[in-house]
Amino acid sequence: MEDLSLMTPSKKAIITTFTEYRDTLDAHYDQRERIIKCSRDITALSKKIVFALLRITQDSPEKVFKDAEAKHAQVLELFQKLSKELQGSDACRYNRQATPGIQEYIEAISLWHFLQHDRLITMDQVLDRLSVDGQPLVTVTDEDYLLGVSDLPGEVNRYCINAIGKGDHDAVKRCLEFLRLLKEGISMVMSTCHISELGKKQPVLNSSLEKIEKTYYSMAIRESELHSIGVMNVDNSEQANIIS
Amino acid sequence: MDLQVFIDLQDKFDQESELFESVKAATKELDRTCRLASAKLSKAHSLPKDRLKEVTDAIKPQFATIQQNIGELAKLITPVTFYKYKEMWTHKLQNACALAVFAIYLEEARLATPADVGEHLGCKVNMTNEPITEFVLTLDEYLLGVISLFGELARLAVNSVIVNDVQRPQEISTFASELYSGFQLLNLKNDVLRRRFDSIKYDIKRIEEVQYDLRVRGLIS
Repeated sequence: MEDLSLMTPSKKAIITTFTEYRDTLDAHYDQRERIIKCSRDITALSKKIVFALLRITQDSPEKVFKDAEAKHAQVLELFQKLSKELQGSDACRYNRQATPGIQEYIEAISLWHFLQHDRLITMDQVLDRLSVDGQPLVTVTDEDYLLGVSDLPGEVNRYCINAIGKGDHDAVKRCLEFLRLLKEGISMVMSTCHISELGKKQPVLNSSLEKIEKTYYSMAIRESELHSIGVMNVDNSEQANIIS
Repeated sequence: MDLQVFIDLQDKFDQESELFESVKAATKELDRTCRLASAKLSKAHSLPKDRLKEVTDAIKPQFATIQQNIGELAKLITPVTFYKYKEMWTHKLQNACALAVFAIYLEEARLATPADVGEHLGCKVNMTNEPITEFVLTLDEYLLGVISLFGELARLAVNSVIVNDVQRPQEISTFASELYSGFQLLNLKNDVLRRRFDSIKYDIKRIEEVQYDLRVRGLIS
């Protein structure tokens, strides 16, 4: 680099201001990088929560929720880190980088909420889960929420298939009702909003719903068949084998 | 029931939809004005240096309209919606910025500062990472606007020769290479700024070719 004092005034002015711009850009890129990394970590941990929750068909619910709670505490630590990067208008500025993690987290806790309460988690309940001392750690936009819960069908589907395998036939009915509600809700919202990613999630929702409806159908048909030949007290797990 | 969640969301999106449409309409207006201004400003390419004032004077009313357009747009935007909708206007604002940068170069043969651009466009500028409190022109938009100047400079170098001004390519070359050395200081990531930066060298090359042609024929020393 040449000596500043040897430059023409106009060049010197350019070098000085562009050095400032460089520092500003560097700070911005670094912050963006940290947010992407944090968001990725949150995604990974949220996926672990989902897997822990899906073990509910094998383990006792108490143990499963305890495991999930332990992981949730770790996620909250990550959110505390993320929160420092997303103060004020930075929350909107870096939403695009932060949103994958936030969505995955919402997916995990909404699966959790579904397993516990058979209901769709609300935005307030999401914020409540994300709060420390009554203050949510990060801003969750309506888009984050909507995209998070619209990822649920795949997981609900997995849970449903596992549950039938274990002879929990009631689960199919609950899952089916829940997914139908999700489908209705999401289609309704899609008519007005400008979220392009939402459209990409619809095929998954539809195929999940179709799978569960098919499963329910074969269960129903099998049951009436068994009724008609007078076999009433078939072992549940055996019946599950027939279906799958 | 659970469906209420979606009904509430739908209401919110409905309201936002109105804002979305207004922002779209406002950016469309800005785009229209910029196209018109761009057409007027490009007359500079066909005039000798001493008649540039005709162009820069003629463009002033266009900047007044641009200011109005940006003012309308800015009125719609709050700090919360700024980044959410930025994509919708950022290209048009970059164009407007490029126009201001070119106009100022034509008038004073120097690089427009962010403050100059802000004054021409009638909006606040934020060249830092500080939180924004209102509608602003951001650093990346300013830099992208400035990069557009290289294309104009390359054209101007060629067109100077057409109007028999063999000295101006030399001035343009000095200015362009000083400005380029500024851009070379930046640590760019793989984004739009990087891609546009990569195109600068082709404009520089065009300017150098003009100089070569003039020198090889002994038209300049």
